[in-house]
Amino acid sequence: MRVRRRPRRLRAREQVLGRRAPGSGLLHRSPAGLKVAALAVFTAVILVVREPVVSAGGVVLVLLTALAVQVPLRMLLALLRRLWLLLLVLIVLQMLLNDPLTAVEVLSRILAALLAAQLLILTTEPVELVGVLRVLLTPLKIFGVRPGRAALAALIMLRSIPFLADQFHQAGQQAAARGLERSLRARTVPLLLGAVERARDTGRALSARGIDQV
Amino acid sequence: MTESPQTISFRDVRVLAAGRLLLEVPQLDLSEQRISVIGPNGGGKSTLLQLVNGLVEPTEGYVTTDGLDTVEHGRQVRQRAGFVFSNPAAQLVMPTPLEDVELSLRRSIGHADQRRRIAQDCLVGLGIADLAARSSQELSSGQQQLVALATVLVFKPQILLLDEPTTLLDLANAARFTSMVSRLEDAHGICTITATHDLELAAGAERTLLVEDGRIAADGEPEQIITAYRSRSTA
Amino acid sequence: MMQPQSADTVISAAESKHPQRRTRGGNSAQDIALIGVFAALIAVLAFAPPIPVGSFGVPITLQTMGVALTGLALGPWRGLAAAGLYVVLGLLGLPIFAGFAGGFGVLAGPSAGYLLAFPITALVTGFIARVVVRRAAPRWWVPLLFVAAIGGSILVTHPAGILGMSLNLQVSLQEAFFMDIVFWPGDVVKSLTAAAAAALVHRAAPWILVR
Repeated sequence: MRVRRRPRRLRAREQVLGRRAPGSGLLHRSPAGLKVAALAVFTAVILVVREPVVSAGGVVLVLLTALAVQVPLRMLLALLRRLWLLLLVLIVLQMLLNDPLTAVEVLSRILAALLAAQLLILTTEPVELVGVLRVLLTPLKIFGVRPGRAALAALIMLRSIPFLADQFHQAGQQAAARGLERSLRARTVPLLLGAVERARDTGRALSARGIDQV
Repeated sequence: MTESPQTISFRDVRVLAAGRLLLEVPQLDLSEQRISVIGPNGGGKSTLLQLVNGLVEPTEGYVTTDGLDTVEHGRQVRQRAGFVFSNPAAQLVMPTPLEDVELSLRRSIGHADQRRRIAQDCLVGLGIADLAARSSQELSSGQQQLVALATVLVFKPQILLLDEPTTLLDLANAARFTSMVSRLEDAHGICTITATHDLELAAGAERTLLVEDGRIAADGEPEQIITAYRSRSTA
Repeated sequence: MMQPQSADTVISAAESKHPQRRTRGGNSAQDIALIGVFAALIAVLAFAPPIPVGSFGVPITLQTMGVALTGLALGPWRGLAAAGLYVVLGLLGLPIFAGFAGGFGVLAGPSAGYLLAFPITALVTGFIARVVVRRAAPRWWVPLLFVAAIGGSILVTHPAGILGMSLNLQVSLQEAFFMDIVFWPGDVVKSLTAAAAAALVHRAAPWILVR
């Protein structure tokens, strides 16, 4: 477990948005917009149809697709480990409240949708999604939405996530050092002030360069 | 250089924020090529620098840079006076340095190819062409600060405003940054106004301003001002 | 030196040597930076592991606190934009929802209603917060901002969340309501914390909402 040995700070930074499946299968090479559209259709179908066969078939379809495009199942299923508590609660609730067939449909529908999305996440660079956002917003120009500004905000968001994750982690350590590990406020205030400062610095630098869109 | 065409003038300037006086400068004319600004944190150094390119607008009075009012002609003033901030990471927004430098040109140059060429030349000029396609996120602070300098230099400004540009850098990177700036001063005649806590760096200027408690407490020969500041701070 | 010419500037010039200058108003680059950074703040709080809070150490998740902080700090429109950017990018496939999930798939999950409500929650909380910061004396800020945060939560987040659970988990509205109750105590704690933190920010950085 080499990853575990790394200093926490670095681990947080790397993990945040950086996990991509290695390789260059078909999904890696497909344009992000196409994958987003395919995922939208897939999700819409299983959300509307709501048949046990379709939802369970969806799970199988996602797993087969992963195998076909060389996305390691281990990385795909890592999502279940991160969401284990939620999934456990779901299973218990479904057993209590619904008949077995409905329970299977609900659970497989949720799994199929989440895992399908995970396929997109594991094969797409975050920056590509900013491009998709920009294209999607273009028709909204007539309502005064400016895609260039939204794209700039999205880029700033991507850059700020690792920074704020570090800040939050440090705030937690500082709180613990002062014996305040259970104080939500001791963790939140430094994070919020860090966010405001970061936004001010970024805004000033952009104003100085005369930039307000990309 | 005896007579520099770049003149910055402050007249009856007061800056208020939420009723608090941040800075008061009754009269100030700056025309030296290298000016340093020293003083305690929160004293008004940063506000003074930001007044020069219109990022902070005077609540009263006016500031002109090169004869242009910083409020009325904000865009032109900011093209002439580039600004480098102390936090390198917050100044970059694009995935790679090259794209970030190109972004600076988006308004002024229509052709994408031409933008790319100029941006590339700019990175070459700063000796960081090897960083062009790297991920900005993974650069060291020192490298990021050089890229931030590039995103500003690509406008070909006559004035550079440097707000504690080396505070967050390690010693080697700070030295690299300052030597790059002095090369620009010598080779292109760029005027610099540097706010800094590095008194050695401040001593290299032709004129030094001590900004304290929202006013210019002293103004003159660097050696004299720095000595006065040192003795006052340690007293 | 220029002298003020019109009559009304002469009057204000009596108090100071020069007239108060008109500023350009909103700064769009600054607004965009705030929107981007606060969208990131919501994401970071969403994937923070549950934190044990209080003397019993009950773990609570922080996702909704990011939304409250965004509305409280940025006001209605920028708050809506920041939470909207977070939700839209998450739906497009950025792994920024709880558990590093993302993509349209979450619309099939139990939290779909809560997620889709976030932009409107930030809008409602932001409206109340803006009135509070502009009109109320600073010593009332914490309790009133708490009202803004919990108000957005009660009026928008919880109803939408209950509806979403009822639809996606095939349970009745009443059953979904009882599932939702689990989140109420944590919500009060988070709203209080958000209000205290936001009040601090508006004192320390008044430029954020002064307009």
